[in-house]
Amino acid sequence: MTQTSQKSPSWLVALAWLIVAIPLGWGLYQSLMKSKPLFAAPVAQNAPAKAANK
Amino acid sequence: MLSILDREHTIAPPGYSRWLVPPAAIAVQMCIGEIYGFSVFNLPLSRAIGITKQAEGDWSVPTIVLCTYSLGLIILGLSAAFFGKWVEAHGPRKTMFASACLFCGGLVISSYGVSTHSLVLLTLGYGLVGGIGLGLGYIAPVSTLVKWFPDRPGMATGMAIMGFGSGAMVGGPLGVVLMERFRTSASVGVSQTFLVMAGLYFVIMNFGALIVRVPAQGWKPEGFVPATQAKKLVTTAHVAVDVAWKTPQFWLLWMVLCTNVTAGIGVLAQASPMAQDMFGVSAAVAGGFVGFLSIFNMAGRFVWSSFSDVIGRKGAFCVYFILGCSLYLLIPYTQRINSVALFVAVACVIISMYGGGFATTPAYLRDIFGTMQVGAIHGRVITSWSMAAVLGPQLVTNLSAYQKAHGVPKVEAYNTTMYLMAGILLVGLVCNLLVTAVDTKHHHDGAGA
Repeated sequence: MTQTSQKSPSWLVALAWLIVAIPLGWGLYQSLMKSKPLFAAPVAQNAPAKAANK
Repeated sequence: MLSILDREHTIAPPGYSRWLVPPAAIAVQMCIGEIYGFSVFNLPLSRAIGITKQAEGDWSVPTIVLCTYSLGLIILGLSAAFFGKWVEAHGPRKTMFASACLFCGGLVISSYGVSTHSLVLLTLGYGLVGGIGLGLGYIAPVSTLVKWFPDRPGMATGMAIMGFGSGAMVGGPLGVVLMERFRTSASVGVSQTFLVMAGLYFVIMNFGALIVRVPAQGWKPEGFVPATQAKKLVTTAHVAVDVAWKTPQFWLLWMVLCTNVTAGIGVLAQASPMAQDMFGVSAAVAGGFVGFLSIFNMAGRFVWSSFSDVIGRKGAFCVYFILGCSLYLLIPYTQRINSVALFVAVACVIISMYGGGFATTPAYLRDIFGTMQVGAIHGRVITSWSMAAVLGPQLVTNLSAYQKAHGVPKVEAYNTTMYLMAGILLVGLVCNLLVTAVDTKHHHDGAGA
């Protein structure tokens, strides 16, 4: 099918993606912030012993 | 007035960009995916009367989970299966609008249920009415996307299902922010939060309904040339949903999805306690681990499903199962050498493939059953997800709890679960390897492959 002069404007496509990208980006930022302790904390101070640990 | 919702009014005019359709799908999926982040409401709801602590008459957390999250997922699967043919007949816009009305209406009913402390209304709202909205919204874009992207169906459905995966990343923090805004000495703020979320989600979901289109009959992407050599596992025929679900291929793919989901739940359902018990990390670090996993859950949906466009769906699931099995067997080793980094890396890859399986499934169904009623067929297949999502967490958490209760050291209490998950993935691998092309006698109108 050939494209006509009524091709969807690029700005409309960009706007549609921006509308969903904003909340997605905010959610991704929140998850990254929540993940920070995983990288900030040192490895566990007391590695759990293999012995019984009830 | 409502005729604008009809399928006939959503046929794309010439020149309509197919790249407007994924944002429509993502908008809806991102909102209904909020169910994955519902756990932020568990504790506040369990203190709706006591506010700062549980009081007499307050609901327990297991009850809340059962009436909202679990019921919602069960109804999601059942409604997707039941309404699949309706979705195909009425098109994505009407379906997305219906999904918005039901999911957001369910939040409104739940809001009233919370403010009047009615468990019945909370269950009716979020679990039942919202659950139907979930089911409709989940399958709404599938059929449309595979028609718009015949050259890259994996990538297309991956974008939509990635939207669902992002629902918790958006809905969880949003819920927390709103509850903090509305919390008072007399209210935990959940009722008001549900109302605001209903309004926000209604707008976003209907944005999706507004811009979605279906391609005109015979439309093809510019430059797209269908493969001249037929591929064994990519049909050019179509199978009706009422025929498809009676084929062995349907049930093999049902098991493929069920095993993939169950295995992912093996990590997801107990990620935080696993990290704490196996490595002695703090609750904060374990929480960070859970947050990190959610990123890979979302990304895997797009990445792995797009990858399936290159290596095929059967090949992609072989990767998920073989690699997943190997990684599950590696987890006890990460504990023995006390490597948190390796454990995190392994878990992230496993979870990425959990998401990848969800996103690859619609494209797999398209390859096996054609595009005619792929949305309806997908709706019936995801009943496997409902079952796994409810039974899976029960299985994995009870298994490790049993181990601990019978003297197994905490650090080793998850090993049996990991081996079980590896075994489940092997079952999935066998099912995947058994998938073949559908017999031509099942093709719609006898059209050959």
